Amino acid sequence: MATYNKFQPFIEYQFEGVMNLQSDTLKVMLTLVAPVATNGVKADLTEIGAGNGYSAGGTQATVSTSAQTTGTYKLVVADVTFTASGGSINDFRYAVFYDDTPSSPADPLISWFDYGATLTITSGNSFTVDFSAVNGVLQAT
Amino acid sequence: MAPPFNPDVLRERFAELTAQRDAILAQSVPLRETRDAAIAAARAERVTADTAILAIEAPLFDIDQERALITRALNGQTSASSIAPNRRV
Repeated sequence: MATYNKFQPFIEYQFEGVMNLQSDTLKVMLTLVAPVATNGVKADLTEIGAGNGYSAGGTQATVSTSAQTTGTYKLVVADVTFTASGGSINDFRYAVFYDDTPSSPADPLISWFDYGATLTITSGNSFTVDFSAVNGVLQAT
Repeated sequence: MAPPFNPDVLRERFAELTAQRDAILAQSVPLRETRDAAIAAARAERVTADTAILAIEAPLFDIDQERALITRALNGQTSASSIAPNRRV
């Protein structure tokens, strides 16, 4: 089970109107280098190389619901699947969730998931970043 | 020793601060209004684009969830069958 980690600047971005999680282009990218909680934007990270089914910047996450109930906001997104073809996707350990829409700051980070070990997606196989449909990818109060 | 309380001096100072505040806002408020108008125009344009995007992508969530479900069911081995489509049974 991957562990969830929040990037600290994310909370400031929310209160300063940087992101619209309902309609922005949210993505999941992969990295082998451990993110740090104080990282703020995608450029702070070292993404795996593109190729063999992995696109630079990662894969779009589809938003299901972005709403609050009794004062608690919850964002639910569909699971994101990476499929290797023509070779393996580069090794990774962390899946990073970020917002690809804002330009200032560009590509602000939201959270990351640590799978605890290096993973490889070999050609013809797929890997799913499994987001909870019940609890969502994040909640805020 | 603290100076004696003098309401007239305090009122005079209050008036000075108020004048300073008003002078600052006289400069910044027009800029705020221009900024807010620009944001409102951009937001209106964004809402139009968002609506169109969300309408097109409405089926995407179910597709993504089903792809993930299949990936888990196949333990990640999602490569297409080598059997040609016209020969599948």
